[in-house]
Amino acid sequence: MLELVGLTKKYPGKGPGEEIPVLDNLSCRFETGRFISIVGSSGCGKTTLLRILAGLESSSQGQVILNGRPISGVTDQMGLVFQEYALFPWRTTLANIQMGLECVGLERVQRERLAREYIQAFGLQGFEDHYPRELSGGMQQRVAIARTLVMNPRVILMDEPFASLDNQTRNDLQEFLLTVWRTRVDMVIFVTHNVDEAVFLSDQILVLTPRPARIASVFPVDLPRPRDRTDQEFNTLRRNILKILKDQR
Amino acid sequence: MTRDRILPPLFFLLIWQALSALEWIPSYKLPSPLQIVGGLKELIVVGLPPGHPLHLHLLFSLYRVGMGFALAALVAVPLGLSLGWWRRWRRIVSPLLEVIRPIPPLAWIPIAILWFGIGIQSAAFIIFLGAFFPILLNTVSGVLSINPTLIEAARTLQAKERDIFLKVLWPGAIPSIFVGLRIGMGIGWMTLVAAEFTGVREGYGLGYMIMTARDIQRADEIVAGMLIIGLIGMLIDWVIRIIERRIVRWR
Repeated sequence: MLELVGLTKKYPGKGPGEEIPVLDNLSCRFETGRFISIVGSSGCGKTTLLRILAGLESSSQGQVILNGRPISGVTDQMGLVFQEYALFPWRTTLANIQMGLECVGLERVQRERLAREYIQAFGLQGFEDHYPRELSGGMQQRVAIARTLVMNPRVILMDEPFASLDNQTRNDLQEFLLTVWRTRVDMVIFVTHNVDEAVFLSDQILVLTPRPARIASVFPVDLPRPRDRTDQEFNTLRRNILKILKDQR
Repeated sequence: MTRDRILPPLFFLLIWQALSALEWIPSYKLPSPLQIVGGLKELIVVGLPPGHPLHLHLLFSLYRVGMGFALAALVAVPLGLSLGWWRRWRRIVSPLLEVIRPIPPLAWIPIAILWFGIGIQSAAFIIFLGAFFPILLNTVSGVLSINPTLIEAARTLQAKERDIFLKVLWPGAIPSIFVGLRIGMGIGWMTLVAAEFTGVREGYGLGYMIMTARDIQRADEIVAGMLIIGLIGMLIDWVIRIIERRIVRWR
């Protein structure tokens, strides 16, 4: 279980003593096994929240508690997937997936075996020795997800991972991500501004207010999977969420 | 393509040769192409001073430049990586570098002679100075140009500071480091010959060889020596570019 307790973030402003609040006292809990999406208008602080969870930034106040233990800084419990993939351009697919394994000092033979397992599972066979620039956007993102998952984190954090992909590729990767989530991870926290995507993927959708971000509402999504985007309930839920986001402006 | 590359220079050489033959260009100022070839042959066979053949001059020059350049790369690359990574360290060191950088390498010759005497050490030190700053500055800018998201990605993949240096900063800066190496080698090579004009009094070295030719008023051997310097400089740059293309395959 992942809990946010009064999570608050302020950035220093221009003037002396001036502070810009970004996250305002966020509290909530997410059950293990869930797929959670966070939606909100752009610039509302979604990314900041994710960066705090990943340990790349510290909160001004409040705590993040994972399975009963407060966490701070980067931990192997959390894996982050970036919007623009953030693959190392000088590393091949195989070497990119092994980056984290190298950093934790795994033996060469073991880490290559693991990386090859993920290459199989992620449909990247034949592209082991390709550099990122030789891969399509969808493939690059699969490499990025594999690189994060091979570290076996409890929670996988994703920051608009499919935003720069075309529609068809995005839909394929959404399906793929659901499979991955069911078989390999405890929890996904997925930041997006695409409500359709959130409804398609999630068990629970967190809607944030514009900056400073507070929790506007939490929607459970009980629709059976695989979900049909043209289904009536699907669209009712979409409409409700879009209405909240629209009314914020 | 090939025709454009070969015919015009050939035409130019012919005109030059003709003008020299008509004695419109005085050969004691600018020898004809054929005379230069003759000078080159003499440098190779007889040597200047006699018994000091061209290939030995060349080897000594390459040795000096190799020493100075290797030393410059060995110091400048790690220093550049650290300056690119630690902003505070950069703030502390920058003013000092900014003052030293504009001093032309050749202005160091007197103090170099005072410190190291005349010889390989002095020459290598001058090359070192010429090559050092381009390598350093390009390494720093290479680190600064690395996408910060890549460093964050490395951190979320459990990279320690050492991993960030070896697995992100170093490979990420390599293309820029190569730019620095090429510029540094170019400046080092130019500096070397000038350093040998003044810094080498006897023995071997292309610069020393050219100064000897001037002392005995052999314009053909002066120009032949200059041509060799140009050709070797071009060759070195070409070799570095080949190495670069082998290493930076991901671009």
